[in-house]
Amino acid sequence: MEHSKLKVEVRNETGKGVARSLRREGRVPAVIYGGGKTLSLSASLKDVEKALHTHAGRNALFDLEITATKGSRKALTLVRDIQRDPITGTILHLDFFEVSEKSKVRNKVPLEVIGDVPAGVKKGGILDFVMRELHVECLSSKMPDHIKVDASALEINQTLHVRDLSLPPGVTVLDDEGAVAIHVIPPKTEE
Amino acid sequence: MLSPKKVKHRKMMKGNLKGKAYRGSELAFGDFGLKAIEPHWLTSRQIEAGRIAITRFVKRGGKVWIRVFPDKPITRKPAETRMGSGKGNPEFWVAVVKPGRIIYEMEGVSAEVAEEALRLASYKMPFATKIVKREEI
Repeated sequence: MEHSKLKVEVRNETGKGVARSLRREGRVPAVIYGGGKTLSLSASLKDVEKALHTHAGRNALFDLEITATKGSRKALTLVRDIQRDPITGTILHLDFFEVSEKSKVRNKVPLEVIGDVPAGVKKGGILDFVMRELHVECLSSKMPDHIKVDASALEINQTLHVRDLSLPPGVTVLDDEGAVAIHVIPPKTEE
Repeated sequence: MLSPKKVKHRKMMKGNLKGKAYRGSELAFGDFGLKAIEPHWLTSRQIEAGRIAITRFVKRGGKVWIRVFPDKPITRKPAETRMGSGKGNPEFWVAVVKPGRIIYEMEGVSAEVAEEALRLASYKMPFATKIVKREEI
């Protein structure tokens, strides 16, 4: 799994006034929890966007370098939540969830279709994602960035269930195994 | 056209259009979407006109989702009526759209086709819109 590095600072002041002034300065308010004490943080917006724009995206493990007035420490985290402005899409707030390499964590991992265009799509069908993410549990160090799905053999009206997906070793699915993940639906014609 | 099957109260107050749409502002089903960037009421006729514009352009294939529902009744008084004598009759239905709200979503077509279809639908909308695409994050 990819590791992204990010420098963050501890902030002692909280509230919407502080958050807004941080955003005006080009910083993003954030919070870290899961590793004992919850801390309010702030990070540079540029650095955050750069760290999130990797292949792993928001599912990468983040090595945070937390700087406080008393000193600094490192933390291994996952991004639990990203709040964005509904119009511009700029990041408003980040939630970091502290994990250890040896502990099991639950996370949502996006599905990625690999291989050829599905056979049903070549015949005019539509590849419909019923699920875009899979809820999985595994060691944080083994958390996959994406779950690769080969849908090339799918014909029209055929389905791939959660149980049909091939998962990396050590990863367990928390979603219902009988649930439909992807299917190819017949084309709709203009009425 | 979309309208509720039954309602608890026939008439509604005007309400307001303050704030942004923090819910329904991200793509949930499709790969492309049309996002409102201004607040406005969207009538059931306008929703239907946009949907027709999309399906006519796409012709075959593609799946469309409508992410708004007109559940607010709007009343009008008859022409040349003196003021007073109570609230008018429900005439049409609107969806309250705040900036950031996704109106339509599409999937199963190429990016060019989706963008053109959504651009045609945007002309049917009473507010400024922008086309959004699904990204990795």
